[in-house]
Amino acid sequence: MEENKTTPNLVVDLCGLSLKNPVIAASGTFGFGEEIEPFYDPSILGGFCTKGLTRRPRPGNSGIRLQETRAGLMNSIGLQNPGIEAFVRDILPRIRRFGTAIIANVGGETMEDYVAACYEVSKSSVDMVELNISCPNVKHGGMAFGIDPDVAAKVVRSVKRSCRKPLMVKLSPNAPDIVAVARACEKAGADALSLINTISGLAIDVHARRPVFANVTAGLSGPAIKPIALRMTRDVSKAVSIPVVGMGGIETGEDAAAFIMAGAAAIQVGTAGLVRPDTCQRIIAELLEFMSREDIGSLSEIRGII
Amino acid sequence: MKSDLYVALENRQIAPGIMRLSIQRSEATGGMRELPEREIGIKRKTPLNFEAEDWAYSPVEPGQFFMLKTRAVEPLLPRPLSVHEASGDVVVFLYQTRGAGTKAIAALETGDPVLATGPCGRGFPVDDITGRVALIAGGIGIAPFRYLARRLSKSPSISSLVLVAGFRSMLFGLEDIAPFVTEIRVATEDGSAGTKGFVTDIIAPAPFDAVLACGPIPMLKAVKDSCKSAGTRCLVSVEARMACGIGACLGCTINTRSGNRRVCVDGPVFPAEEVLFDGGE
Repeated sequence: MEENKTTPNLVVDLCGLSLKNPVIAASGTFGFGEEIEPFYDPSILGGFCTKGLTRRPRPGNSGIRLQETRAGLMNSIGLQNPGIEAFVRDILPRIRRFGTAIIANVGGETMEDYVAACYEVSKSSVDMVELNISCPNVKHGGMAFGIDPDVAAKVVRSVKRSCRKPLMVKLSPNAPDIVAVARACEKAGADALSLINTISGLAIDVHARRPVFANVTAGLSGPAIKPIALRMTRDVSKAVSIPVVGMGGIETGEDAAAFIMAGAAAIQVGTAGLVRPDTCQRIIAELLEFMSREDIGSLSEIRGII
Repeated sequence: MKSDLYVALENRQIAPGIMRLSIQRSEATGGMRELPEREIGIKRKTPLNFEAEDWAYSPVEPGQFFMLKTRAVEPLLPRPLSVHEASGDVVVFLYQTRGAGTKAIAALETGDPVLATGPCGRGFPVDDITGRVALIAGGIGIAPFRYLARRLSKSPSISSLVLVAGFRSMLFGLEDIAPFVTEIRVATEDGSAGTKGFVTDIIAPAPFDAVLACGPIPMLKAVKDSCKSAGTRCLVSVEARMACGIGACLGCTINTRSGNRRVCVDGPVFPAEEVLFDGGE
């Protein structure tokens, strides 16, 4: 009999939200989606995470914001964004037409910030909220909420009370025990987890004898962090029963498949999308190709097999 | 703006540390594919033969740039290079080899594939520049002025076009621009050619209707200040570290009167009075 190969099924259910495929553009590398339009139709994506939004507009950090490293990129943008109000009023109506899941990434400096911001943005038409308790580049709040399980649980519980959309919590690899933070967030009511945010690092300008970044440290992303991200994705996936969205150094369809094998429900692509604007489009095609070649009908056949 | 495969036509040193690269959009492979091992069948020659002054304009605006990435695994990110000349599907860049990125680009050989995203950013508003115009270049800041001068030289609303170029020591790029300007003034820091000193020593903005400047920040700031005193319109092309080049990452912002703006999409050309070079003022 002729081999009857059907197109592999890439559809992912994430907290009741049906994604066309598991490929989500990561926060901070995709603006609000409009910048990618000259290159491909954003509707092909499983979804995208907005630039980190805060209750009030933020100008972001001054000084150098980027430093390339071997196989990686350090950044210290500092959550530059127009604020939730301007996002909902001016930007969201323009990007709603993309026809893909819009995940609002929300940052904050205080517990009250997070609660108010998540509530505000969850009243809009966004599909999901990604709670960023892992930004290493803000002086107050940010990662401070994501390294201790009790503090993380407290902010998730408070946000969850008024958040009207599924809540995904973005975890920091800088936590001493990311599995403990993950378990605490699940127990506090998180609907999903995403990991990893950038790894805190340091770059030094030896000629000037000072740190490259004004904030001294900055977040490392890119291919260099992939093994760490994969390991953490696997550890967390095995420890919780809510969906885990994996990210960190994904450049190809096979990288995406590796994260799914490590237990990820879906994946996010960040730095690689800065290297080439068409990266997400390519990863979707490569993942399909990989599945066809390996005779994988749906992602559930390989999810968490490692 | 597109992301396309190009092939290197020619990449050669024109002065110590200064390279000129011509690339052509690859018909054979189309855009958005993997970088092949090597392109074959190069037909076109590099376009910087100065007899041909009637090249078709390309849709590139003078002052725009491309993000270039070679087949090398490192560096990870593409590098922004300003358009030196553009005609049809050929784009030429003049660049200084400084770090890992430009060194990787300098290693390109004829026929090598290049992934180029562009044209990026807002360039000089050619149709909106009139009268007596001065182009002020500091070092490799001369790069965008070849294409800009050619375009301006064809504009009926330009009455004179002066190039004012400053260098540390070695001169470069002047002969590429000479056919399109009415006058060239040169300053060198070591006095080896032209006037000893800086570009700001050899130009007073008052007699000009517009000053267009590209170069290091201290030079741009000095030009901005002297244009402000003279009441002369001034546009500056600003350089910044970039990751994406398309406005997505907010890595290249500069401080302006209207807050942080992205050099890659809101610039690189800004009205000088908009830019706060000291971060404050």
